[in-house]
Amino acid sequence: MHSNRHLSLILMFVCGLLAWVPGVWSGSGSAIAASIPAQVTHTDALGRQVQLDGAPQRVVSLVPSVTETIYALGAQGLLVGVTDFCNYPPQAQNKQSVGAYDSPSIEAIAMLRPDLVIIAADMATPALLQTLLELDIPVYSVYPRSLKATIEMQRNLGAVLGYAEAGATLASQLEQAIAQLNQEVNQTGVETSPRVLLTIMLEPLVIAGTDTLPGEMLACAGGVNVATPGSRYPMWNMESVLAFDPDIIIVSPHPGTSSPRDFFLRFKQLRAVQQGNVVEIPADWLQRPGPRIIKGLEALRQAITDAATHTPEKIDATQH
Amino acid sequence: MMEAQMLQIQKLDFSYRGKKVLRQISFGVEQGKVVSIMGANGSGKSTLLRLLRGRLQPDGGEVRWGNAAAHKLSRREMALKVAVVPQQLQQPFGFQVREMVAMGRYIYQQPLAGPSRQDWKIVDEALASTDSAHLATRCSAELSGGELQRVMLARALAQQAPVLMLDEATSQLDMGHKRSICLLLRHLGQNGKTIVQVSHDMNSAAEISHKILLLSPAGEQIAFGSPYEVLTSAHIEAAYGVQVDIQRYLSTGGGTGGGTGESTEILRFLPQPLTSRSTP
Amino acid sequence: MQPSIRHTYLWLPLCLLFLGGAVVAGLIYGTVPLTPSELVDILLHPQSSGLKSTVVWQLRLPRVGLAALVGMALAVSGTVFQAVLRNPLADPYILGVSGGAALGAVLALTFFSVQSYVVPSLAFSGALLALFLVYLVARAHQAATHTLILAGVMVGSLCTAMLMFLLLYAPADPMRNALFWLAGNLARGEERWLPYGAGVCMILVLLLWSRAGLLDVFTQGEDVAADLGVDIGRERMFLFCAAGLLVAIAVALAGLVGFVGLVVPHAIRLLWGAGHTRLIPAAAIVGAGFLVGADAIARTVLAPAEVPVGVVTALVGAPFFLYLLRLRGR
Repeated sequence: MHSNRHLSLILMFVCGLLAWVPGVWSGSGSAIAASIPAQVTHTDALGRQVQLDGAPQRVVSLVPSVTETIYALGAQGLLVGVTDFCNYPPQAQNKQSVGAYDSPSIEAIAMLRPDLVIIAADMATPALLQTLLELDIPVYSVYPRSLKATIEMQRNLGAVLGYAEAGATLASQLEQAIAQLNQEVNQTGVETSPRVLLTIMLEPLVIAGTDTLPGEMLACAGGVNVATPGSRYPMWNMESVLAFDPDIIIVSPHPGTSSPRDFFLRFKQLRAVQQGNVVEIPADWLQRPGPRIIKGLEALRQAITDAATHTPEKIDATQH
Repeated sequence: MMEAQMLQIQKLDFSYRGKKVLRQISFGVEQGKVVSIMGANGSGKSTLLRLLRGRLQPDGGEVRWGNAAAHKLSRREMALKVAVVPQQLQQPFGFQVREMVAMGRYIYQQPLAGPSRQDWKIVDEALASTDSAHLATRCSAELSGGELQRVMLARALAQQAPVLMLDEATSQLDMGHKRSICLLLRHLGQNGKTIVQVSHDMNSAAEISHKILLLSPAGEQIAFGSPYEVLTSAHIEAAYGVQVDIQRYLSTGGGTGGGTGESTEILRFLPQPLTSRSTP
Repeated sequence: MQPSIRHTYLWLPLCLLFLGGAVVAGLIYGTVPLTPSELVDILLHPQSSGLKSTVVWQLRLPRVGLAALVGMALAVSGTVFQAVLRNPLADPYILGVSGGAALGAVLALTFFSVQSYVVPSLAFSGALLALFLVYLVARAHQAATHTLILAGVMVGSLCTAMLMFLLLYAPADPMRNALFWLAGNLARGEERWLPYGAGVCMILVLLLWSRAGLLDVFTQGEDVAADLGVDIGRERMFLFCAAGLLVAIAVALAGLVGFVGLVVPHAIRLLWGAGHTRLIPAAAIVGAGFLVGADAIARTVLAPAEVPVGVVTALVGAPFFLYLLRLRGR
């Protein structure tokens, strides 16, 4: 055991030396490859070529959805560092935190001696990426802005972390869920599709447009977004809500605000209020491109099918 | 023989941050007289003026307004006794000149009311008496130095205090404007206003002052008395370190507006030419 | 600046016209389009139901009222700070009030987080606390104006530092909410606060108007003001507290709305001079109209979405201000 370790150290040292000599590595590489972890190259969301010595053993995740995905893959054993925002599954909060996802502590990351850090392309700054690379820490970026990208991310993360099979399973589960929803929606027809308002935040009233992950999920579940097509996260006001009078209003309880349902229940003339279609769905199910997206899709579909059965009379009865 | 003393200064001492600025100053200001305080830069003239209106507390001696010590009077009580024409000051905001002069009526205004009809009448009179009635609707930020100084004087007059204090109020004006303000001051003095001014202009000070207080660079009183008694070659050299020729003229007083018509003796001070210094 | 300040009697009708126009625009424009006759009809029949009636009575009127109140408070407090500090570039948030309010809002969102009224009340308390700290410094020192400004900046920085420290401890969601909350938003649902805020603000504005002469005198510098008979220390404290209270109320009701307190007093000075007998009421009316109008634009240009009102106040205010400066050649 002991001598084995020495041997491998020496071998790695030699390989390192060889790598410096042009032409030697490519020629004799195949001969040595059997005894050391294979060099693998992945292309990340930024289009960077990330070279890894086989599967990483110490991973820091700077993305809450990635943390969730890692647990779903069963790869949590590799996870040595997470962010303050990585609150799911609850066990993730027992992992060492390195700070917020957009401003993590570089020292905390370095102290964990990770052999891979996973960042979100839209949250981390180029400076953070540069600093990590200068510390010789490999960085893999993800950019799950759509359902397709989320599926891809699950598959890729499986491959990168050495859990390719689990990744494929996870991805196909989401694909199947989407396919099933599509089929269901096609059966019921688009004519009856309810018009839905997806709220992100109430004060100010920020909503999810069509060109967002929740927006795409809504379309997939058979709802029509009341927001302007192509919009991302516009700020709205109650007047617009009244003017568009959506059939369903999706609210997400947020820490720091009063019950979001009450916010809309003040406006009795809203169709969604009259028919009892102000529905709470946890923000993370809709906004976090992790495995719980399936729950979000199901919840949206449930809200839409429930709405179809709701009639004004029925709701008046339940409210009094 | 002695007229009522408005203001009595006795053995006044004042130091600022451990340094003696004024020592043993004693003089009096009578009602309706013009008193000029003169001395080199840094001799404590402005400080003395501030002590006179109670803005500073003396270390020794006292400044008495009638029975009251100056620094014991409230701002309001003092503003009823003294109106101040400040040195030229920046005007960050543009006021209508009439409003600017109406600031002099601040002490007379009731807490919840603006200037009364009576106040505006006094404002317009003050503007007229400083020959600035034509400036009434002008914007204060657009006035020339001479115009602004007249407006400041009008404001001080609108305050209707018996004593007028001027702190080098004319030092930044050209000869013509300086002259016209001097004439105005003399005219005011003749009409019963008591004037205490800090001035560097020896010629006009000698002309309009009843009394002159000359300070040494160390803040000591060199002399206090009539221009003839105070402005002697020896005193002036002690105050400024400059030798001057003093010339005396006789003036009939005509053509100077507020003149009395009697012939008066006028002093003119001419510093030694620069060349005489280099070849002693 | 113009060499003369004439036709000053026109200020009141012009200001009222501006406010009236802004209010009508604020009631007519929005996601739901209205014609003037529809608006009159709705206003004459408050009992009628229907979408347009609800929009006008429940949404636009309270919002126009809030915008008017906040605009008035900010413009008047900006006027006062500029006069007392003798600095035409002073802004209502100069005394660290904004930092205090931000800290209060974050504390509320972090630790209490239940009822919506907690946030404005703690923001208000934070603003008052910041003001009080500055007041203590000023009182201990009989401070010169630049000391006050420095104290304000320091209190503001202290609040920001504490905020950053909180950020490390608190979950970041409340922090983000608080920042959104602070960004200036007139769509608050807190209608029941409006009458109280309006009452207190009106009293403060009238109180400040009644001291217009005092404000005039303050612009001459404290030395000159003292010679004109002003008890500087006491009066300055009064003016700071009244103006600071106005800002605190505005921040608690609508977060930090920029540019109103800076540009409105300035524009009116350029038009009708700096005399506060006119300036205070004119700033109050025009400030109210300015924010009501800006909010109408913010709600309309991208309808059904809206633009943050601070963006509009800056986009409309800054060019207008530049135009005024150029027009008056200064």
